[in-house]
Amino acid sequence: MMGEAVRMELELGGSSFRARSLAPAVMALFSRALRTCSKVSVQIASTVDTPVKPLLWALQTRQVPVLWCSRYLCSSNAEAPPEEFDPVGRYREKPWEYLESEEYMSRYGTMPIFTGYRRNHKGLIPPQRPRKTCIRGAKISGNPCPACRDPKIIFHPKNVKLLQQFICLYSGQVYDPSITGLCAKRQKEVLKVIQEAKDYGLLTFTVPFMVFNPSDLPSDHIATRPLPMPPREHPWYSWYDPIEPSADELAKYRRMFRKYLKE
Amino acid sequence: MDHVKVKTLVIHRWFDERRTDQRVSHQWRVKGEREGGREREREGERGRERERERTMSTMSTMMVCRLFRAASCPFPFTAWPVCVQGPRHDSMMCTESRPAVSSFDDPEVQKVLMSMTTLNVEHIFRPVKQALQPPTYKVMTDKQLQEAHEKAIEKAKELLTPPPVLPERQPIDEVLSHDKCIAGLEASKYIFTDISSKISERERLIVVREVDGTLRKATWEERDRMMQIYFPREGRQLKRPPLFNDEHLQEIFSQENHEHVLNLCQTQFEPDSPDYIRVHKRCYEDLAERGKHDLLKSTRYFPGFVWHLVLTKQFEGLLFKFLQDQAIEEAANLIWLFNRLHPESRSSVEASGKALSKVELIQNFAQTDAQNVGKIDLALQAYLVTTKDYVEA
Repeated sequence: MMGEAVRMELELGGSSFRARSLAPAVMALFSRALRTCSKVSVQIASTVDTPVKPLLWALQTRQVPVLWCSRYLCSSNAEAPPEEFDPVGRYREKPWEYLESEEYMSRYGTMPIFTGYRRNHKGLIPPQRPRKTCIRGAKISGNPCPACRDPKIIFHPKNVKLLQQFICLYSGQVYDPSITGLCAKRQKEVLKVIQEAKDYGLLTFTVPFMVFNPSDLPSDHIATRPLPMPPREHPWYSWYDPIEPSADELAKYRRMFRKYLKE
Repeated sequence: MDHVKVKTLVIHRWFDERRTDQRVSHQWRVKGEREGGREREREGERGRERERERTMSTMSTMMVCRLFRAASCPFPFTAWPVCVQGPRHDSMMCTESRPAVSSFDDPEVQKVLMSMTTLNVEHIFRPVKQALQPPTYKVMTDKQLQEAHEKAIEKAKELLTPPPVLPERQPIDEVLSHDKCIAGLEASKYIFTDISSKISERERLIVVREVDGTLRKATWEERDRMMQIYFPREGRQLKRPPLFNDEHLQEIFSQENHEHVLNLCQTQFEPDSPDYIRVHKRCYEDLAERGKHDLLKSTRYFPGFVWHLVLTKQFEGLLFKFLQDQAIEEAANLIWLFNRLHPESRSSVEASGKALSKVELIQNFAQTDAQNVGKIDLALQAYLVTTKDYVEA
C-alpha cells in the first residue's frame, strides 16, 4: 500500500497541488505531510534510483493520502468515507518497539538518530540556542530536527534505548542541543522524560555516596521520644468541661433574681 | 495534606549547655549503652538531670514563641511532666528477648561479615559515570607506589563500611497541648520547625498546630519532609520516587540493578524508616530467590545481606555457593553466625562447647537444621573429593 502510493506520486511527475483544495478533515490530518511532499515533489522523480537518504525517506513515508489518489484517479470509491491512515499507528502505545523495527534499522542503523543532522544557518558559527519548535500547529519547518522529522520517534520513559542515545556513556550527562540538533521544545521533553525514567528506575545513574554520621542515628532526645504524660483526671483547662457553680453563688444569684424566677 | 501551610519560627535556646559528644564511637553506639562502673552511673545521673533541665528550657522557649497566645488560656505550668529517661536503644533486628545474642555491631560479627565481603579493589574503584576530567600522571618511586597502594586499600575499606542496621522507628504520636479555644481560627495546619544551625537532625523540635487547636509533635514523615526543605541533602528528593513502590521494584530487579536501588535507598531514606527496611528486605529476598548473591559481593551491602539471610534462615543458597566456590572458610563462618544468632537451634546446641573443624561444623548443621539436606551434603562431598584430589596430587 505504501509502495503503491509512492509510485503514484512519482508517475504524476511531482505536479504541485494545493492543500486547500482538499477536504478540511483530510487537510487537518495530513497537511503536515502534504506541505513537505509538495516541496520535494519535483526531486523525488530524479532520486528514485539513487539510495534514499534518511531525511527524504522519512518524508516520503508520510504518505500521500488514499483520498487524494481516489479523488483524482479512481472514480469507483469516490463516495466512500476517507480512511484515516495513521503513519505512527501501533508505535503510539509502544514507542519502544519502533527501535526494533526494520524501518528504524534502514533509516538509522546503529547510530543515534541525530547522526549526520546539520542545521541550516548563515556563516561558520551556528547559533547558540536551538530553534524554539519545528512544528507550529499544522506547519512543519524546513529541515526539522531529528525528533520532529520522524513522527515515530516518541520520547517515553520505557523507551530506554532511545533515551540512552541522548546521554553520554562516560559522564552520564544529557547532550546539549548543539550536539543533537533538537529544537528547544523536544530538548525540554527529553530532559523531562529522562528524569521520569530515572525516577521509575528504568535508567541507572551514579548516586552520590552516602556517609553516615553518628548524629544521624536514633537518639533518646525528647524531640522524637514520647514524654510519659501523667494520667489526667481533670480536663486540660478547667473551663473546657461544664462547670457546676458553687452552692453559695447559686444561692446568691437566686436571691438577687428571686422576683424573676419562674418557679 | 492539601491544606498544610508551613511556617518557621526560630526557637532560641535559653540554655546553651555545653554539648558533650557522648555518642561518637566507630561502633555507632548510642547514648545509654554504657559499660558498668560507679563513675559512669554518677555521670548517668548528672546526664539525666541535665536532660530534665533541657526539657524544661526548650518547653518554656516554645511557650514564649507561641503564635496563638490567648490571654484567657493560662498555660498550666504545673502540668508539665518531669523528664524520664526513655527506653534504651536496641540495635538488634530480632525482637524476642534472648540472653546474649550478638548484634550487627558486634566486633566479632563485623569481622566475620567483612571477611565474607571480599575486598576486590578493582570492583570497588571501577570507573563510574561522572564528570570527565583530564587524567593526572605521577612519577613515583617503588616505595611511594607501595604507600599509594596501601592508601587505596584503606580507602576501599572505608567505602566498604556497612550502613547501620536498625529496628524500625516507633511512630511519633504525642499531643503537647489541647487548645480548643483557638479551634477554627485558621484554615490550615501550621508546622513549626526549629531551624537553629547546630542541632542534630534527631534532636530538632518539629511541632504541628492543627486546625482544631491541638499542638502535637510532627510525625516521622512530616519531620523528614521539613528537614529536606530546610536542610536539603544531596541526592534526596522531597517526594518519594515511584521506583520504591513494589510494582516498580520488580522491574528493576529483573534488570539486576539491585545495587542501584540500594544506593538510592541510602540517599533517600533514614536507616530506621519503614521504607528503607522494606526496600532492603525486598532486594535481599529477590537476590536470594534468583541466586544472584555475587551481585552484592565486594560492596557495602553484602554484610547487611548476609545478616538478613541468616536472621530469616534463608542462607542455604549462599552456603551452597560458597561450597561450590571451594570457600570453606566462608561457609564455616556462615554456620558460626547462624549458631550465634539462633542459640536455641539444634545446630548451635550440638555445636556448643565442642571444638569442631570447619567441615564438621557444616556437617552438623546439614544434619540438624538444614532444609535442603541433600544439596548441602552433595556440595560438601564434592568439596571434600576435590580437596582430597588436590592434596593427593
